[in-house]
Amino acid sequence: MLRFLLRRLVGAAIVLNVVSFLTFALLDLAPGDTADTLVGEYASAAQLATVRRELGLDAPLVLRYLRFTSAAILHGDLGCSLISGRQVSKLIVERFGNTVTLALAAMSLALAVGTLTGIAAAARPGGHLDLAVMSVTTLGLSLPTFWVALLLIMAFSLRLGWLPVVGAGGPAHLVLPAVCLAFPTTAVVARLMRASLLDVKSADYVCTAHAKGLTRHRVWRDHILRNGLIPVITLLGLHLGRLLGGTFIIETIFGWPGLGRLVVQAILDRDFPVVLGAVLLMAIIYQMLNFVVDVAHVGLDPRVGRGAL
Amino acid sequence: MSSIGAERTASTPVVSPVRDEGRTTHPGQGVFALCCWSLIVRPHLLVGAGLVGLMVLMALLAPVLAPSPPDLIQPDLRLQSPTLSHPFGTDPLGRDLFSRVLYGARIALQMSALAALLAALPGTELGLLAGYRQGWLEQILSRLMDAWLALPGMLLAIVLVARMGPSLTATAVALGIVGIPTYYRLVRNGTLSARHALYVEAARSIGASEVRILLRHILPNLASPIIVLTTLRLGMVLLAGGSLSFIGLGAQPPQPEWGALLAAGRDYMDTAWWLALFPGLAITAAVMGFNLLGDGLRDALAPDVQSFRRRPQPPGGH
Repeated sequence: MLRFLLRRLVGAAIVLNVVSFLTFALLDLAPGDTADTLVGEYASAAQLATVRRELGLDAPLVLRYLRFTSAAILHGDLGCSLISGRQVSKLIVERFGNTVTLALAAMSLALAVGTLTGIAAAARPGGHLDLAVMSVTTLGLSLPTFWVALLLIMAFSLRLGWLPVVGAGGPAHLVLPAVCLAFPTTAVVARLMRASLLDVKSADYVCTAHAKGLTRHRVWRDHILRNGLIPVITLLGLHLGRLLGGTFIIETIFGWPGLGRLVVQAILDRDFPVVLGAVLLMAIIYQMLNFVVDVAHVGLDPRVGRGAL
Repeated sequence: MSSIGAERTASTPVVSPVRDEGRTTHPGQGVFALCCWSLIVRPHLLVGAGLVGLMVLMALLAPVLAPSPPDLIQPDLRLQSPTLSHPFGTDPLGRDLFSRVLYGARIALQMSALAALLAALPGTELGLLAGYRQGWLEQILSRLMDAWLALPGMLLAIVLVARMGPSLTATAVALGIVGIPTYYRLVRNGTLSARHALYVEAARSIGASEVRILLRHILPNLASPIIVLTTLRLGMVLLAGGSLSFIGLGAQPPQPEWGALLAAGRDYMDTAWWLALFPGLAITAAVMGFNLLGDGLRDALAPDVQSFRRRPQPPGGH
């Protein structure tokens, strides 16, 4: 168990280093670096070279990467925005909480609604409810979230006037973005929950549990649900990535002041230090969450940890 | 297991719960019979093929079907609601939305085809190479692909678009690059298991070259999972490309890309509902077409392809 965790931790650390270096390299090589933006369009090549030297931009890539990471780790310094001149770390801290709130709300919603509909569908496979759930989720997987967002805004904000159109503020502002962000994940969770329950339902140990006279309720609670949930937990880990990706779209549509919107705006402004800082943070969070999911997986299914030894 | 007649009885749900439906006993022999059988039994495939076919027709016949050129600005026809002459209405510049959606099918197909090609070609090639040669080459390639998959797809696509600057081509290229490891894994795993198959031994023993074995013997045997994966990816790319265009990182304004059309329609939502409705319907239909077609093909051709999609190993088990 301990060895398994250690190995996963080391693996995650290596991946994190590779990912951050590649991200740095990609964005750093982008045409129009900090110096270009600072000296403006009409500067001569000599001026440009001077500025580059002063900023240390003429050093080799690896050296600059090491400089960047050491500043980031030692001082929490991610450089400054090219547009507003503010510190990237400050910009990120301001936005971070909003994205976490949105992601947590969406995740809980997807988990609650998804597992419940999955259970309901699996209780009577082939029944009307099951067919309805399967059809709706098939459709749900093909619906673009940004379009769903538009339709929901049209219905609930413009026509009915129940919810605010965009922005952040009270809990009412959270409803539509969270529902839209949760949308595809809910469909996947429901389908997987259903398939997994149906798999477990026909397992030998469930048959045994029924045979030894346990009540239906106890068989479901102790045997079917507990085992049926394992793949869903694993899937949630993988879907955290999709959720992070979704925040770019959803936050932009709803004007939600989170990291996703920060990145999209920064890309449109060609403000690379901001993109780099925010994307790195997202990659780190994704790796950490994956690690947590793996640990949770071991907790739920002891075979995994032992098998890895 | 069910035969055709029993397919719709109460005991067998239309959408079978467990994934063994592809292994039911097939009446008749051969690919053709299999295809016919699948079409009858699974409306999946038929509906999917229909939707995709419709999209291809729209793209091909756009110049014939469109009432007016997609970029024709007619200031006196601003924001008209749908009528017979303008079935989808007109936009704030008086452009005919129906024509724009038709031409949007071209853009969508081009973008997703380019992205699929950019993922499939390098992924397949490297996968064949790694699976056949193995050794240090495979080790390096596989570790590289692992790191590739360590970033969520959308995040990687965003980084790549940031690098290249927002445009439709950048979106297609980014979504293509994001897809390479998926193909790599599928093909590498397939090649690994095919390496020692009898037909490969036979080919080797009559002196076929490595290239010939890979291209003429192993690759054709991997064709069906590759086709299934590509179909499913086309839908995914369409959705992701539309999303990126919608937030301004993909297609740029005059281009009638569906996501961009929706973004443009946003500001007129409360008065011109048609601008926010029809392009969305088009995206949904196209994505659903590819998804259904891919699912149907998977059931018919390669029942176990699911296990190759993204991160096949269970966590911890290497």
